[in-house]
Amino acid sequence: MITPLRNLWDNFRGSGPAALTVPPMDGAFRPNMAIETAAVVAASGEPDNIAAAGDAVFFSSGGQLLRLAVGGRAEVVETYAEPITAMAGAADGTLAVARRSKGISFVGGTRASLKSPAVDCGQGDVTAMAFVAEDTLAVVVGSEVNSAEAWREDLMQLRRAGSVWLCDLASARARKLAGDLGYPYGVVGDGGGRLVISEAWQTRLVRIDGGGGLNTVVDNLPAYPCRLAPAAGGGYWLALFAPRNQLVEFVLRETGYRERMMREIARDYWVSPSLTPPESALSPMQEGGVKIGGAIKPWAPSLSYGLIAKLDRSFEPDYSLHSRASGRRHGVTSVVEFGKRLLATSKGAGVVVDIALQ
Amino acid sequence: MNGSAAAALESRPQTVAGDDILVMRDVTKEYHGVPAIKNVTFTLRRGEVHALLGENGAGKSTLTKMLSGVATPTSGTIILDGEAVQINSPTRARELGIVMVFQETSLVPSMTVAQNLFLGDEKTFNKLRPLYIEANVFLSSLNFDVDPWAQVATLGAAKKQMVEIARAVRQNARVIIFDEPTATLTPEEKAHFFALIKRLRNRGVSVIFISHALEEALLIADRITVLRDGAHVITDDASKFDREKIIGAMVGRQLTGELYSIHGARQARKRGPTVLSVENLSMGKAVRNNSFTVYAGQITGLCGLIGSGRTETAKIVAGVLKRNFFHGGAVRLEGRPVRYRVPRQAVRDGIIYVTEDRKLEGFFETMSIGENLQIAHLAASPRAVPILRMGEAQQLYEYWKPKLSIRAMSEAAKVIELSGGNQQKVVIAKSLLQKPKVVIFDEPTRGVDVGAIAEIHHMINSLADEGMAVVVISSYLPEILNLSDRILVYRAGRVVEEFEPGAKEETIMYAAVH
Repeated sequence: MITPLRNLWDNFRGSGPAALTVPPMDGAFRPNMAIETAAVVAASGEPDNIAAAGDAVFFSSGGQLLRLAVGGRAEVVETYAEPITAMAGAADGTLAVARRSKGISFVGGTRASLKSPAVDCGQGDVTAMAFVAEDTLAVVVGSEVNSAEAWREDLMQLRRAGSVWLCDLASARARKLAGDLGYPYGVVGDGGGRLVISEAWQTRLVRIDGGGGLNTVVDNLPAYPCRLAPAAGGGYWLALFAPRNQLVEFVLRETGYRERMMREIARDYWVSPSLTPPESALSPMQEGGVKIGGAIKPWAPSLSYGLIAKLDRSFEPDYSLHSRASGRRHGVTSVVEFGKRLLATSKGAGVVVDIALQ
Repeated sequence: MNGSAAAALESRPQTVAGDDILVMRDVTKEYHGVPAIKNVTFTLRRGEVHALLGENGAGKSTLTKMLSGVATPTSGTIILDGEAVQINSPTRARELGIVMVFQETSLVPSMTVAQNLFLGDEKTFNKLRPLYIEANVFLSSLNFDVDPWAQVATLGAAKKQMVEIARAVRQNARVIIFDEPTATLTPEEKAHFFALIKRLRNRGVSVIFISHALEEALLIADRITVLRDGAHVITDDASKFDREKIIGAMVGRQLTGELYSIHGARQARKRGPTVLSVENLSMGKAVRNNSFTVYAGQITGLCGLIGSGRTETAKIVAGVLKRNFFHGGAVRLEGRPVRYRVPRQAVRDGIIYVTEDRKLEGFFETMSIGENLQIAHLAASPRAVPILRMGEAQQLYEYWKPKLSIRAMSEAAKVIELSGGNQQKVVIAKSLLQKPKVVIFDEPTRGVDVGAIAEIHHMINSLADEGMAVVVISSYLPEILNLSDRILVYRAGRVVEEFEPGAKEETIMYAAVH
């Protein structure tokens, strides 16, 4: 009896779980402009996934699969009719490619002839994959209701319709490990035989054991987490595609407002996280409060941001790389460490950047 | 010291008029047979600024108490204007033209500024309006931006200090003793204060200036006297001193390597798990949408101008103040949202706030050290009804005295009898008794001498080394740079920038101001 009363009180007062707060960007998330000042190695549409397979780096942009050549040029390997929604690379050169409504296909390496695992995506898409053993591919589906393109709808509908699958490549069988997740958007093996996924709408990282049990590893991230990748010296890289914002947190609590906004306003102009800084006068005033002398201040509470976090072996954030509110390279959705380079896709700016590591 | 303060003193005379207005000859003061001052001879010239320096417990306060009539000498003579005088009460001291401005203000908080200015000088029938007009004119003549109608309780520490100084000036004193006058002043206010000292000196008023800010003493004083362990060590022209020489005379050893000299070269400690997370905290105009994180095993330094919201934030976290009722933000302790109505709940959860105003909020001044420690022990007790054990106060005293180098004659010594540094150590001991997860030190070395500063810094560092989450709030930037593993800069009620320990002072100040 006391819990509903307390919830009512918290909602009235804006306290407890109903507090409209976002975690601070300090400590491990201390801002810098490392992404903004990084070298651009490719500019191509909307680069989304990036993965290393053998001794090559591939990235996707819409339906195009591209390889980053030695000189920094991007070569088109394949052009599909459907957009590529996820990719994973293996050491033997195999590249797993998930496309909308077409399942998972394999390019190059020794496993090019494998069948697509039977992952049930519902109406949604595969959002991330990772080779976690010789013949095992971990697959996450962001939402079984909304397509990858409709991620904003999924957030605004407060969906918890994501799932995690473990696929045996030899038999093409897939086993659902966990469901009802808040948009899983990244997956990596933790080295101990278990999976760690990023759950975007819950802004956390979760470890999943073989039986599907969930265990929160990192909670209350300051931005929506996206794809994970192992780091060469131990630890992991985490791309975070948009910052949390008090205004968005508020909208997520206002059901009537949210439903009307979705019904009456075009998606690009919603008060919601974004991959790109606003360019239209119709866009929500995301930096209005801190635009001084005509310049957007870097600490403005924006709806879009560029952010990559370096996690240690226990997935605790160690340090981070940023493109702040005043920058353009926002919406970083994927990252890979290759050689001594850190390559990341800024879907918002349409570039692949090469960030100098410390 | 800022440029304007230095400019205020540019025209300081290099030599001072020779005649002595005040001589204390072979003065000794004993408490219960223990000498606090031993055969000290001190001279003050007409129209000079004389800095009186020494560690806490060196005897500065005792010396000045004898001048202001709070204490009488056990032996020795005091000569004022060539005549031996007995100063056996503060009233007598005022009649003789000796006024003391205390470190902790002696204003009546429930009265207005003007009422405090005229306190003890009232007529039988007072008209309020002329009184306030006179107070306003007088404060303006001193360049003090203080509203005479304001109730003293509503003023900040700096403005209280201004009222205290104004009251002393108004009493037409011949000798004014300032005890740590600048500890609570902003750089701008300090500039005004030094200009005021200059005007007093030009009018022939003699000033005794007690400060732990040695740079200020070097800048403002004509002569400097150093006391150590109740004995006179040296008196000479200020121009013959430098910082190292003063410290050497004060402590009898070189402290340079221990104090404020290692910043820039030190490595920050590694971040531990997040212990405290402050998210979008708001309280009126003082704290505005403020967010920051505190990690275990690190010292997080909070700096910024006075009034930038550092203390208020700390007090909200510790349950002393309340955040906004609606949408006041969140405080998470080890990931769990917490909201305290009273400090006791915070203490039980392991959040300790070591106050900047130790006299008012830090201890029970008329109780003994042991009793103060025992109270803290009882407050941390998980029992609903704490049990008072005989001998516990003594045990706690015996445990903490060597641990924090508390210098006192016995467990029964009242806290009010201790020096500022030792009082602060008692406050810290009280806090640590409560087994905290997070300790927030607010101005931990304000009014504390250099020797005790080194000890307190060492203790703060050892807490972080043991894995505790430590927050240090300080207006003194070298202290922040010396102690902190991360430096968070406040401006207008919120954290605006984060720096590493090697950051330049100018860069930090720029962030704090712009």
